[in-house]
Amino acid sequence: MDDELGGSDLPPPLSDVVCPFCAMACDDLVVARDQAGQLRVTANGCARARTLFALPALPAHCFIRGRAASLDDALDAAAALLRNAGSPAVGGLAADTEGVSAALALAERLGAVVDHAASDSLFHGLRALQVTGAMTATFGELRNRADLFVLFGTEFDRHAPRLFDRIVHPPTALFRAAGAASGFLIGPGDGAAPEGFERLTAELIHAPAIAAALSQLVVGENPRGDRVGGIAMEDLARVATALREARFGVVGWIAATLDPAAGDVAIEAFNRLVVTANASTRCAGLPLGGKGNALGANYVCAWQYGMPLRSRLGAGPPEHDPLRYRLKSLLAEGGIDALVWLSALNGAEVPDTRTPMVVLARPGQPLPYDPEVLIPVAIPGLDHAGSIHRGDGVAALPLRRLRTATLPTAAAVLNALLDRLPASPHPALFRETAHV
Amino acid sequence: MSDAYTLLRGGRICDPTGTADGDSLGDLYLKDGRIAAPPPDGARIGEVIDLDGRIVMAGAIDIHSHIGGGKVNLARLLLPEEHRQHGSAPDGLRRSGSGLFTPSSFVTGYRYAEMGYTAAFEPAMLPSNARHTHLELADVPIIDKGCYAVLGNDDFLLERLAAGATQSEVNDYVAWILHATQAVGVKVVNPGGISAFKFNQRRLDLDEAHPHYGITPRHILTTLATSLSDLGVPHPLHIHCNNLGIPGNESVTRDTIAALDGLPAHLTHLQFHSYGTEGDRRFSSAAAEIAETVNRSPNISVDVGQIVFGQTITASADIMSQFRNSGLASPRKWVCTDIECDGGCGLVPFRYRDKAFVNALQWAIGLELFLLIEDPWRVYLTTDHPNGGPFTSYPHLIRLLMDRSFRNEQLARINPDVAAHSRLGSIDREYTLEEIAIMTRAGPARVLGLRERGHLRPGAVADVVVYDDLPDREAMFAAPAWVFKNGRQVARNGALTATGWGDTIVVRPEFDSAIERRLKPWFENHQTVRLGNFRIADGEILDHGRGGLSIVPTLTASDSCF
Ligand code: SF4
Repeated sequence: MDDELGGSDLPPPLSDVVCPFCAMACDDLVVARDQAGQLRVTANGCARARTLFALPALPAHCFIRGRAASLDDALDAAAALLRNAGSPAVGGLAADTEGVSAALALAERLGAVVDHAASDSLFHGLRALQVTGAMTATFGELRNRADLFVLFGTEFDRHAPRLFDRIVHPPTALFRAAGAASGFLIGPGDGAAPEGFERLTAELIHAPAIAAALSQLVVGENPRGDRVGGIAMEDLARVATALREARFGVVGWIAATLDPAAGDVAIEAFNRLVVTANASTRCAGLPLGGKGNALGANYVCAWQYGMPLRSRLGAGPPEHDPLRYRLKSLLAEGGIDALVWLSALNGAEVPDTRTPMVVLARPGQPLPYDPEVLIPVAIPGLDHAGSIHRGDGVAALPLRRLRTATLPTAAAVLNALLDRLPASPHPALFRETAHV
Repeated sequence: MSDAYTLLRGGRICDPTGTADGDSLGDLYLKDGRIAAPPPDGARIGEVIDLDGRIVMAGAIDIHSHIGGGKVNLARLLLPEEHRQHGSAPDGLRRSGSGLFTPSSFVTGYRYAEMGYTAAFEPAMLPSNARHTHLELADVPIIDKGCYAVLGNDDFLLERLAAGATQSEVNDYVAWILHATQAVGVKVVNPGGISAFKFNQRRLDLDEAHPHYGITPRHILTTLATSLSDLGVPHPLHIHCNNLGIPGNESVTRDTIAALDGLPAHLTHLQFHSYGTEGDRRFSSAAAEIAETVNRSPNISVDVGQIVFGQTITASADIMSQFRNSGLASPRKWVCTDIECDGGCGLVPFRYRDKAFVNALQWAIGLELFLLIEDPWRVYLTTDHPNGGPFTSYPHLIRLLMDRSFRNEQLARINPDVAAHSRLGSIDREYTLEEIAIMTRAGPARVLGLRERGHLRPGAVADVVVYDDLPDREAMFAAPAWVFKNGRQVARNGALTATGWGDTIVVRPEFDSAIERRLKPWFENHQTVRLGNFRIADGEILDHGRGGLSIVPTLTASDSCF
């Protein structure tokens, strides 16, 4: 993958670049690079991608309590902090697969709680999954097939910036007229709706009731009352009719904009609506939003330990508890005495806490305080190769190195930190070399 | 490289491909990770292990086990209760983990190795999920692994078939997929049916036209089987037949074999496809008819997909069937996903109960198939993990096959209607050790084209398992005395002693790369991943220091295949 770095004077723009900055993981970006390693998105990226790709690749120092230090000294200081921790945590986890793996291995060595910065949204979906299951479809299927979108949420531009360009109104589609998908936006706000869409204004706290009423209407029952969550029943009846008449309908949601206290209840209701519609036609759920490879971090934890995030690793068998091991709550209660925070991608703001902290962050990451130890790390997909998961759960995408890196990868730093902690034997290779 | 040999002295070598008869004692030399010919006098022998007449076999190979990838991982997330019940702490050697029927990746490798299994094949890798699958399998230690790419419901292929693509165009596409997804075989799952479900069709028979493309499952099946044969891919088309689990589906299974018309093919989890409609409940065993068809068809190999009683989860790309079965979910939650104009994924938790008529009959049907299919080279031990039950039940299944009185005791405990009417009680056959070695080692190795595995002749990878010859075959196979992977001891008396990384096994048939000219615009206009990002580079597997790539040679005209 390193051969992306051409040696010529005027490097050609790179095409089909994967963007790691939100869960849409667009892979069609065109990126130009100047001699200094400055990157510029020249086609297909959204505003966020344009901003974040353009971050300069600065050489950056490590800091110990605000004073510049060498990487070795910073690692020693981090190890000293962690070695004595009684209730450590490894959080943030905004990184590529390898960065997350290294963070989990460190957590297992420490007996630490693991959680992602954006896990509140993630756990709305996960808790719903563990109660009702799920019936969903992926971006590629919907791009070609979905003729109706019923979307719950708000600020779609912010949470899923290229949803409409890439999935709802793609330039080409196999089984429907490409530009013709129509639908409903259900949520707060009264701005203009995208072409083909109608806005039904409601507070999302009522999303479970709205979805439940839609389920009833889809099977021909009449819910009581003439409004649900502020939406007139005859409007909901039109949504239900559209779902019934669609060849392939979609019920989508931006988890981050659902009721923080009961997002899982809303998603359960969406799932019931989807299953109900599938009695006679096809319909699928679509979770949207997310950044910092939250879904990928959860997947890595699930396959390596069998448990989702919000688990404690290494202190006996993996122990999962979505309430007890919510890192935000633990930090607020003072339940953590040493925190490793990993923020190699966007989407993992460093928490505003006095808990002693080792921060591994991309350059430019805002810091509320000087942490005990700050180690700058490279950005996956700009400075080094790797992989991330797209938010719809099936595709993992390759990240490339687009410029000469000046910083170590998060995985390298975490592995070096692991080596400084009381060891257990590393597995040895059976064979040093590969067959090819 | 080392110049020292390891000598395993005085074992009963059970290698159905070799000359040893398994009765007299023999020695085995290991060197540099391989089985070595007996060295000349004076060669340096590093370690000598006295086997005292114990039984020696090659490492076992699981030809069909869902051990990694998106759907397995979603199954883990769906059932945290399983993982809370079965967890293990780190112990200095082992990473921690959890799970019984969807074990975490590290635990999967450890448990296989402790049972004497040194390779396992993930049979349902959707091409769109290939990168995820390999990332997961990279975290399965010790064993070698490989994947079958799922084709036959992907819109590219269906569209090309409907447009009248030539066989050679399809061959190029199939070969391209094998390369791009780093696969070792191709599986077809409910050919056409998964796609038809996306068009709101709920069932598709072998000769029924697809609602959009107008082509039939028969056409998809035979074209793909021909491709693999033309390309010289050793593992023939791996087929999950239409109408899984439906009473009366034995006819579609027999029609499928007939449709292949002598082309090599592997029918997987045959138990789920051997159902008749006789009796009061319109659900009966058609194992005898199916076994008879397999016996008469030397081009066909099968694995059984035996069920074992208890809680598990069914995980399949066959969303059409899984949606139909979702009402049976226990506990009552399930997942169905339509995936990327490529395939699907369905997860339905399930509890097989020995007193339930249907489950008891499924259990009996699986065993009947094992016992009525005559040639152990063509029938392999699987539970379709986790669909029929976890792979850790293999020692129990081996005992059921080797020990008739044990089998009949178990039969007496299940649903009495099944026990009374099943043919199982009248079958005398008991598998021999040599037949077990064939069905768990030599046979899978042959049908996968693994020339260096599944046997103990000089040059083979030194994956060696030593068993105590216990009368209780379950105890014997559950905890081998020694397990060696690549010549290195990894387990002793059923407990792990060392860990490490195995290879990813792939196949790379030649093809005309002009197919990419057709594929590139397809990816750009109809997919959400570009061709260059879809393809998995070797470095993505090799660069992590977690095992190599091992390329299975394609067959040439002079190779004998069945
Ligand atoms: S939508 Fe998301 S993935 Fe796509 S370009 Fe914007 S930030 Fe990147």
